Amino acid sequence: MLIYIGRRIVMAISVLLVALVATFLLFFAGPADPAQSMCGELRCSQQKLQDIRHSMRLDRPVTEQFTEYFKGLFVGREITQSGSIQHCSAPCLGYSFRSQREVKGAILDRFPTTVALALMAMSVFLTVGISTGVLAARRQGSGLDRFVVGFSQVFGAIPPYIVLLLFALYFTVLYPILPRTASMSSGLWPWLSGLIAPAIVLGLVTSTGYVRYTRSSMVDSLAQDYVRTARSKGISENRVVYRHALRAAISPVVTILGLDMAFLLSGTLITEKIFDVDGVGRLTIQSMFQDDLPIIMGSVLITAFLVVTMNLVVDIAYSFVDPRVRLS
Amino acid sequence: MSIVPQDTIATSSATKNSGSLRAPLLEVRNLVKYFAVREVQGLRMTHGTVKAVDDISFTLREGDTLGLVGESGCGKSTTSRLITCLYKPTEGSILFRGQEISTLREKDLRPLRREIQMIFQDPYSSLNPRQTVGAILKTPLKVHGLAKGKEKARIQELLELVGLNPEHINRYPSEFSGGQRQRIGIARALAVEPKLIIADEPVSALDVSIQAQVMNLLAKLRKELDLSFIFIAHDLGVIRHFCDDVAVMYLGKIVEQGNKAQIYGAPEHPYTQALLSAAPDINVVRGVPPKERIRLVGDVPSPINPPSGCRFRTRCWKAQDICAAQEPPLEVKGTDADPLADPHVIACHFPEVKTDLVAEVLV
Amino acid sequence: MSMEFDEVVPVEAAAPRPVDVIEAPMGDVVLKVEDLTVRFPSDEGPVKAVQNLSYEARLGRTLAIVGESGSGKSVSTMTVLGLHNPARTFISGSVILDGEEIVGASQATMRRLRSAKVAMVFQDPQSSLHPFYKVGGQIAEAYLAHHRVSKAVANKRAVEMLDLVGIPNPDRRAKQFPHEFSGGMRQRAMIALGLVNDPLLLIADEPTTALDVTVQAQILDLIKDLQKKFGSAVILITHDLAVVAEVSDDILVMYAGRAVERGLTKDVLARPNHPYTWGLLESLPSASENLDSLKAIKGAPPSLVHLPSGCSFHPRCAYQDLVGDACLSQLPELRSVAPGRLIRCHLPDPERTLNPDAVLNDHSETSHQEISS
Repeated sequence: MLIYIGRRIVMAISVLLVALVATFLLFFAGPADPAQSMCGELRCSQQKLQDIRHSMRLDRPVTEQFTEYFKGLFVGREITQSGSIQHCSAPCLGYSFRSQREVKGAILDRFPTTVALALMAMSVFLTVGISTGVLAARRQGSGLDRFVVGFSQVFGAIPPYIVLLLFALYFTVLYPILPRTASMSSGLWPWLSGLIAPAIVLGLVTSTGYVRYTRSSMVDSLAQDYVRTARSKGISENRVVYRHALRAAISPVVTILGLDMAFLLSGTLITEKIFDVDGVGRLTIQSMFQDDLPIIMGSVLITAFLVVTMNLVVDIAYSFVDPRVRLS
Repeated sequence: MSIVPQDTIATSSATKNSGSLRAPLLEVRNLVKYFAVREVQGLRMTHGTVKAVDDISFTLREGDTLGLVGESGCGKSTTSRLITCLYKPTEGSILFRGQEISTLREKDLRPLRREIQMIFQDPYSSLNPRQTVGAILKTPLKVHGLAKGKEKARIQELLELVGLNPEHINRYPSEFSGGQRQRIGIARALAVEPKLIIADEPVSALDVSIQAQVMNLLAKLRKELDLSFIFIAHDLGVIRHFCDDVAVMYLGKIVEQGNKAQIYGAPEHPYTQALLSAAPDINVVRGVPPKERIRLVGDVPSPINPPSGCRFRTRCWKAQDICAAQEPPLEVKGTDADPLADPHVIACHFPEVKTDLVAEVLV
Repeated sequence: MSMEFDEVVPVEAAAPRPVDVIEAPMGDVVLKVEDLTVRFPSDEGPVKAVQNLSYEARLGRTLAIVGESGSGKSVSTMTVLGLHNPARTFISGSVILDGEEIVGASQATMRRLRSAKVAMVFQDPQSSLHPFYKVGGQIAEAYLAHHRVSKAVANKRAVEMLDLVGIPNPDRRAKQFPHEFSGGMRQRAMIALGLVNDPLLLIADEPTTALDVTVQAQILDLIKDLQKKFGSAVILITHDLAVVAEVSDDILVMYAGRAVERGLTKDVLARPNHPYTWGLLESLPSASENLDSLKAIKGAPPSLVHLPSGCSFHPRCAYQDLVGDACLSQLPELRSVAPGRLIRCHLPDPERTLNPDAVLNDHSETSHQEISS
């Protein structure tokens, strides 16, 4: 197994490298002037632009710029800022001139909020999605089953931002039964309770996929011979459904869970914007509107890293879920 | 106390060898097929090879029917796919009418596919459910450019040949029963007028009362169309009825080969004897004394690590040291004195004839 | 009443006699199926899987239920375990297991009986064991469902069972997963699972069809040995008449959902009294030694939605013209032709018609003796 993990890590690194190079080329070797876009509406002085270009090594060849950036990921680097030199510790994801901060710091500050939102949403969509899927599969063909399938298809077809907007509007503004979002500085409970509303609706929107996957996987699983064997032992029906059928049906759910978590942890752009959650997603959107390239690039890299990592985690999880899987 | 009286042996050989010696249709020489596998166990990763077919040789002449018998892992299915060039052999050669076919490219194989056809085991999965019977049978005709302009007539002719109603040409496989689907599969194989048919367990998936019908159909077609067969099955009764010669396979090797009188009446290899003894015998209800019970212990070893020397030695009651040290060659040890009979070859250091393993049938 | 068999006999001459049930000296009746009917809904109409089926299973004896696909052999035994979906199955009649009625019983009752009074060994051991759980644990689960003991005790019992069915190194094997077992070992494990609670009745549904012939022999030997040891009743479902001959005491032949012949195995297979049984025996390759073609039954098993009128077998029956129109219009009743011997056929003297060359004297004695297996 360790050899497998070792190989996967090597593969992961090569994927990340490709993502790194591609992003770099897009931002820094593209036609737009990165220095100018970094300033944006601020109308930087020539001196400032010079500073930026110099510390970003924009006056150097692209390959050298890339090497600098790459080196910075491992050992840190020096950034020149209006004459003063700042040390950007490893892994250095760059420096945002717009907000006068290291990219890494800006992202890390907001990471706990995004993680909390992701975990809360996950608890919603896992419980709702899986239990509804199991219920529908147990009553396959009945009116309830047809309603569940139809409803999840219709609901899943509505663009998420509409659902998010309407939910935010009705439940946090017009009839505020759910608390509004608060930043971490307001205290632990206000912060957490502020995340309840976005977690619920984000969870519900995401759950439709889980309902359908779980249901179809359970329908298959309930028809298997080993479920018939389980029943013939005289154990309770619930035990048959959960310990035997669901246990075998859970693999496809693990796959999409891994990918969903990767994207949730990178920050849900629309949810955070609508609910005014101060997470990584909102940071990313702001940076996009402000052309703050270093932060955008940092976000892309973090997302790539999370996706690759979650893929590896999912594969390893498979080998625990299904003992027949031998990772080689 | 052999079942088939002696003069029948002489007759069947004489019929087969009448006139000049018939030319070999298919010659398999030292055929080997290994599959590479990787296995992870803890921190180690082992590279293994499944030795599916390990040096087998046989000759099939025109009009012959050879039965391949053996249990799972013996390599009979792999052999069938090697002969039809669905797999490329690791070593060895396959000669069809004297021409080496295992190294041909796909382009050059195409005319060969008219000569060698295969019938598969599962009539439910071997027919495309989205194609009508007519379309299924038309494909081989089109591929080989046969019956140009007269496809429909040929298709109807084929359907009649296998005992189906030619008016059902536009039906889908799901509208037919298992036995009928197998007939469609046979019709498809016959569409290109082959000389050699490889039948891989053609009746195992069918109901008992239908098996006999399909077996009769194959026998009739063999006679009418002068076909040669390689017939793979695990049912010893079916093999005995249909095949003139039988090769018994174990873990990739042929352990015994001969004509059916020799194999069923006087087998000499312990594995053949165990197989015959294991098959349940209906005649116990007719007051016939039961045959000798030989019960093998344990399961077939893995083809990744076959036992050294003789592969059967781990389950053989006669195993001695020499069996582990030296692999017994497949050679004539038989006591048949009949010079016209095909040679009875055995791969064993201690062959011993047993003649009471197949009970006589009370008519 | 004896007839010359080449006379065309009007059907009234063979009036149905009351069904005799022979009380075999050995073993109590543990399962009594009476007039069982099972139907499933389908797009084309109700599928009449089983109709008016009656049979018994006794301790210490093996009953073989023989039939092809669509005969209803598996459906009837699944009913004994209550494994049909109650919402989609119509079941009528009576199935009495150790004195308790199964038809219409509650799920709680069924759960109490499953594995404890009646257990089933299924055809494909590969798919019948859960791939994600260890084998020992799966057996222990069945034991825990019916005994209030600790997990350790249940696991120990599982290891004992694996040893009993002849699996070497049972404590190591109990901690392995099904995919680490070979085919024969998996089926042994299934048998261990079936017997862990010492049920009165073991139903084996085609237990060896998916196995190699040498392994099949081992498994059949094992089932017989364990039956002797535990004294349970065994129902063996199969299509292989040779297996039936070697392993069973009693036989029930089914066709298109109905019983067509019942009796002692030795009698029925040596001298069949129903054209279908006779046809099955004749179509075996061993019955056509040195002949070019096998004596096949013409036609194919019927659809269970659109059954033929009268006798379901008449389109394929070689003797239908001997009897005449009655076969097409009237379903024959199950009638007794000898003590303990029942057939469903209009033929007035099937014994003579189907077995014209048989010698009668020696066999009529043995059919009254107990055949110890």
